[in-house]
Amino acid sequence: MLKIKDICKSFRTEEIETVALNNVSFEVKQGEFVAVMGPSGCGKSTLLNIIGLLDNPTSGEYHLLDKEVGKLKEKDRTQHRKGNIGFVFQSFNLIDELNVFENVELPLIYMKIKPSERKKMVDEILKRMAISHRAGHFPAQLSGGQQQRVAIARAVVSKPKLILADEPTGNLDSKNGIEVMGLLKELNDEGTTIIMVTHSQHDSMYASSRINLFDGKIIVDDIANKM
Amino acid sequence: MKRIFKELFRYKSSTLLNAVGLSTAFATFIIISMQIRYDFAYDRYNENYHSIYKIGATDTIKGSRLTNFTRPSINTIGAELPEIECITALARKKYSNITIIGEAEKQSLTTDLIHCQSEITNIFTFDFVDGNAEAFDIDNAVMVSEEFAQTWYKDSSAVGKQFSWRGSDYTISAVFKTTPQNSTLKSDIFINMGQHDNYNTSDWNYNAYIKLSKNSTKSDIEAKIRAIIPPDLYLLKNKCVDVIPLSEVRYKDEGFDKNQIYILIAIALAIIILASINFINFATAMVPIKIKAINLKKVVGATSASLRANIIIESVILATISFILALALVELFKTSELNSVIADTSWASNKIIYIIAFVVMLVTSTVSGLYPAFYSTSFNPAIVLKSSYAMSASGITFRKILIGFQFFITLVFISLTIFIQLQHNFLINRDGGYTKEGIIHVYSNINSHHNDIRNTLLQNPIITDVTFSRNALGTQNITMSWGRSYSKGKFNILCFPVDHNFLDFFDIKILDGRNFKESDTSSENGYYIMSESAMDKYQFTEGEKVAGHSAPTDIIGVYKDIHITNMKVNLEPSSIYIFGKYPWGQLEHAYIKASGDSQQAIEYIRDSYKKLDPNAKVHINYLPFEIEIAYTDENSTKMIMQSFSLIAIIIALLGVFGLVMFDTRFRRKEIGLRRINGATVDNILKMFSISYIKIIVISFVLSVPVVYFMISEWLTIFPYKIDVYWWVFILAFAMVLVLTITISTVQTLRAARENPINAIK
Repeated sequence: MLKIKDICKSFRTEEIETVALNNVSFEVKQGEFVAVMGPSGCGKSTLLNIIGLLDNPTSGEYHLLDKEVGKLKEKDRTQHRKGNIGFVFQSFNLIDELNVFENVELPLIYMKIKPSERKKMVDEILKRMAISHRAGHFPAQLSGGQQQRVAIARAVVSKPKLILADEPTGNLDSKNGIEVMGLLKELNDEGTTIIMVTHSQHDSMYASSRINLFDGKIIVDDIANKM
Repeated sequence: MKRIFKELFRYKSSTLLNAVGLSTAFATFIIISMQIRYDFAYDRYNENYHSIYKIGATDTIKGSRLTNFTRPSINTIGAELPEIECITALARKKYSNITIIGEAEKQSLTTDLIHCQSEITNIFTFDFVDGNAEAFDIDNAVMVSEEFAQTWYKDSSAVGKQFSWRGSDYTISAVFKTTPQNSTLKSDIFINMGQHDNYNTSDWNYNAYIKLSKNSTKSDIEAKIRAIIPPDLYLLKNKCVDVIPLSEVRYKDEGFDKNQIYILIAIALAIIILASINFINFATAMVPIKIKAINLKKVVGATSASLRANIIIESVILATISFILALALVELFKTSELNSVIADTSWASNKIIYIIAFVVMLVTSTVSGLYPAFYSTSFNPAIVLKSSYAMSASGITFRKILIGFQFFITLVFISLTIFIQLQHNFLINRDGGYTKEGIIHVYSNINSHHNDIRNTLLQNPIITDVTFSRNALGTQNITMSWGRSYSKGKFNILCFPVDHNFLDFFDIKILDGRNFKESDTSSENGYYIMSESAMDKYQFTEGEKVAGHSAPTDIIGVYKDIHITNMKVNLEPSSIYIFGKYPWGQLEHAYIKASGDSQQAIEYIRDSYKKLDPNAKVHINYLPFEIEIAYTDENSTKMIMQSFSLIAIIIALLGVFGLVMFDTRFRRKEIGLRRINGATVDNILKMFSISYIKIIVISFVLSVPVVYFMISEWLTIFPYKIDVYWWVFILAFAMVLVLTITISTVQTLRAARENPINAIK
């Protein structure tokens, strides 16, 4: 699915250079569920952004679906992202001015799928996430758990091969958290690869393997152990 | 206070754009208001302003007005109606050549003077600085303005000094304080005409002004005048005698377009509203940036009221700074060439305007500060500080309406400006039936016979042809008009005395009969060549003898109609006339064709005139330019519209800029999320453009009927006019569209290119 080799990422301001990732290497196979763990500021989100093609590494190689994508230009990254990667965030990140249906429909519009086809796909996924009855509501009218279900619906509606989740239960109570993790697990069981950043030991139990980051380096790597 | 200045300084780009928009708007408002004040104060310096009327007669079919009467008819009206407290007959003598009889040398000048009766001082207000009204109550007495006295007689008193006009000497008996520029009776010289023309029933040369007694009304006096006006006055056929108040004279008889004042008021208001809208837009555009700080203050104890007061004070301070900049801009305007567009920009006349503008500034800045003040303090601080607040949808709709209004104003101004320009071009370029290109027009008070001028000019081979006329061709609203009797009744035609080669010179087509010959100038009574429309209307026959200047005159031919007056008035039946052996006037206007270097030709013409008469004043211009000057009224409307609509457009575009700025800031997170979900930079740009296109389309649909109505109304004052072309609307639409999409693209590009991850943090 994806292979990362010796990836470094540093941010430079006028005065200092901060190293966020330092020679990180690992591989994720099709259908895996990987949890990335570590304390705040260890580079988890930076890693997820690079995997999600939202940012390029400073050095190193990144192969996604057998293609080197580590040095792509912004425009090409958008093209590779489209339909291949879905995102779920801690703060849901729904667009406040769009209703549930329109929020979920968003990635399909940019994939140039026909309106009739779009409607079918959105209806299907909303039903599956059990929020069909809220299709016409705006994000502000939903509970946190419902909002996250909408966000997951948006992430999976285009049937991506890879889902990236950044602390998906961070803003939820335990009941809603369990529900959301259940959904992710279900998707993983159907074959979708998931990489999830989390603080929660409990959530990481859903994963099939774990990466522990500390100060930009992998310290314990279940994947490496397996390899 | 210090904190407020710091705030303003911190958000430089927004403050700067806001200040530029506001100061331009205030400056424009002040300048336009000066013109409006001038127009409103027109003639109001007269103490009897409300009881002065002018007698006239309105054509019941064409609507045109006749304002010239004979002196005897004016005398009758004055003598028989006690409701008329005072009456004066008055004739304007335009371009009169007078010679100042000074101590050292004679100086001649061309000026307008007024021939009138002494009663004029009881009707209009004259503020005498030397001599008095009684001194003017003697035949041939003269009163002059203080300015004239100072210019031509220097520091000594002008009373007792002399000048000559038309071969007679006149002595000044009184000096009055120069009347304001904005008065109908603007003239430096008034001559008491005594008994002149007192019994002349054939010269319709006099305007009649009356002062009406307090208890009589306009309709009363009109009925009474109609009752006593002799019914056989043939010029009044199909006309209804009426009186118009002094307040209407400028618009009905002087050809000034009243709409121009309304246009100016509309522009002044529109500009202030546009600037206020911009202000609101800029202030709300800053809300997403400032909102955290505002709510932090709330959390640590600031009350909403104090926060709002701060925002309003900030708005008033910014407006005051802009106002000071505006005053500097106005001063700059006064020193520029554009100053001539506005009648009177002096500080002394316009103090009130500055005070009004200051009040307008305070009110608009306070009102414009209200919305952002309430808007930015209306959110729950707990939610705002967590960064997940949603701004109200109604707020967005409100700003869309505001921006729509700006598009609307811009579209209206652009379309009107184009239409006015087109009509102007149309009048100037319309074919008058004669050749005018490349012809040099010369007007002079020279004391030589036109044949001598011609002979002198033709000595140089660069001058190829010369002809003359008594009156100016193609530039005047009115020209000499003759009402005469003939076998079939009465006729009324324009009469245009010319030199024998006039028709050939201007390529005017003879349809029947013959052209003039040189030998015609030695005929007994001269000859007529009639226009086709005169022949049709009065059923003259070629060779017929009809009344001329003083004796029956032969009609020797017919020409295809030409437009002797300018295009602001309808084509009238006309005649071209040649003097016989007793000419009763000079052919003062020369028309010259030259080959080669035109500058050289003009210099040669000037030299030739000076050689014949060293004191001659010579005015030389190309005929097409001279004709263009005849449309100065339209020209100044055009200038005002063009310069101020340009300002309105700039201010409106600043507003668009503010809205886009707000939108991209406000929707930064949305842009990021769309990008993460697969939107390309192009998709984002398109999305923003489409939202503006929608607003422009709605504004366009609303603007079309408004422009259509305004321009159709304006065009009714012209007998010759353009159609209301549909493509002008489309052109205005396209211009606004292109400009807006350009601004939107440039502004949005930065937000769309940003790494989406930063936007959703």
